[in-house]
Amino acid sequence: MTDDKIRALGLMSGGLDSTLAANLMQNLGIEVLGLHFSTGFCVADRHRLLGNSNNRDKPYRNDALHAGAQLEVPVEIIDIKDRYLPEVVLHPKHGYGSGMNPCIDCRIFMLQRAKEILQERGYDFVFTGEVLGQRPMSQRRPPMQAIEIEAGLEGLLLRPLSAQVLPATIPEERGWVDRSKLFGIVGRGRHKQMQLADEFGLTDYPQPAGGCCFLPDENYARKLRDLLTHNGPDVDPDDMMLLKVGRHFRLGDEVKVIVGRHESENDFLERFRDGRGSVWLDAFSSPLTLIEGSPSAADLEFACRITARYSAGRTEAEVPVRWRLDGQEGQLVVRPLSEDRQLDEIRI
Amino acid sequence: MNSKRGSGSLRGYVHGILDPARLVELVDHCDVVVEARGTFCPEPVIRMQNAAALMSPGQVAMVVADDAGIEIDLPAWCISTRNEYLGVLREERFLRAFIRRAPARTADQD
Ligand code: SF4
Repeated sequence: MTDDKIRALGLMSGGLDSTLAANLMQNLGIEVLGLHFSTGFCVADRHRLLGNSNNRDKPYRNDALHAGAQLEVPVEIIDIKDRYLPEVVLHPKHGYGSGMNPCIDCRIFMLQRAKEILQERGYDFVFTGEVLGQRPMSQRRPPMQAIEIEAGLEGLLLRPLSAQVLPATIPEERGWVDRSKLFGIVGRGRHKQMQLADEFGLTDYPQPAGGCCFLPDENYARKLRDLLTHNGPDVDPDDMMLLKVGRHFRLGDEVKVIVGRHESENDFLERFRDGRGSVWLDAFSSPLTLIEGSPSAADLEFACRITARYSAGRTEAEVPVRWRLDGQEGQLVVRPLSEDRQLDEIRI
Repeated sequence: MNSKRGSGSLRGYVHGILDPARLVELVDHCDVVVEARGTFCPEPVIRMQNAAALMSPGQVAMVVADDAGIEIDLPAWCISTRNEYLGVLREERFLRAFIRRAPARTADQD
């Protein structure tokens, strides 16, 4: 590492755009440190939770680490989970997008942290893989500018993929990076990025399917709102984790059930069984259902009927359902719930 | 500006540089144990990263985890950070992955 080398911090999600941006910086002779922020709301984490349980030979990878390895760029994971929920998700100054996604505040928060690292460790500027016009909330011109200013990175935030259609930054003005070698990509299309990936020899990158974060997802947002409404803002990390899997039904103000949708979700729920009630069938293949809170006898019976509804015994007149609660175990013979309307009313 | 990279998948890097017999010897002789059982991606790597920051060059860490993904994430992390991935031992319910802290980088290495 020579002293006069320009050093930049890149926000790296592991997606194609941030990987291309890092690759481009490297090609221009910049020493790059990738920062990957772990918010606790990452969709890939869910794949890992589930893929983990029953398929050891094909685990899901962390795309940011993988991108770092591909480029031989060091990637540091910055754990922001503790502050992210209370400071960003619950109180976004700039509001939410389609779900509970506070994208503008989220970018500001991450970039503020990047700025702290820049100052602590003597980096020269920060770059991201953002593309002008690609996302409706945070990647339009006015919010992009506001994000830069609020993060305290005015002039020091380079978006190399769209740089040529944005005002010149300090790294360009000072000749640290050659503006003519940057790009002017605009919009949601992926064509130019794929062409660049090909040119850079990047063949193994994640497809931009479904997004990387749970918060814009309306179904997830509903479950999160429900949890916050009933448990308050000091939510347990395990409860947050459980939002990522299963069908959720609210039986009462303090009672919720989570029904596994398939074997890997059941395996996953199994890990959270301690300290929670649970319901399952021995006589038929069935989901594992977890019960949160202190159910009444009627709640327990209803949880058994729901579980029976999703079991292979759903068409039987009655089925025996096992339950475990507060250190006790028992069995109830119940009619599987037959009316989906009843479920829809309590589905979170 | 084109810097073509190998197109090989990183799944090919998961083996590590030591054979299992050497890894077994390291179980009781590693310098640092990073306990990450019950945690999921990216927590095991975060714990390894935090431990690495306190390790001296050449020291060996053993990460104990039940998130099978560490078998591809730790090698990737090692390549990106230039630490050495020594390999993994699979126990019935968890994994032990071994990492050797890289020597400090010098000016000539960059
Ligand atoms: S989608 Fe999620 S991670 Fe991405 S900017 Fe929005 S809130 Fe942040």
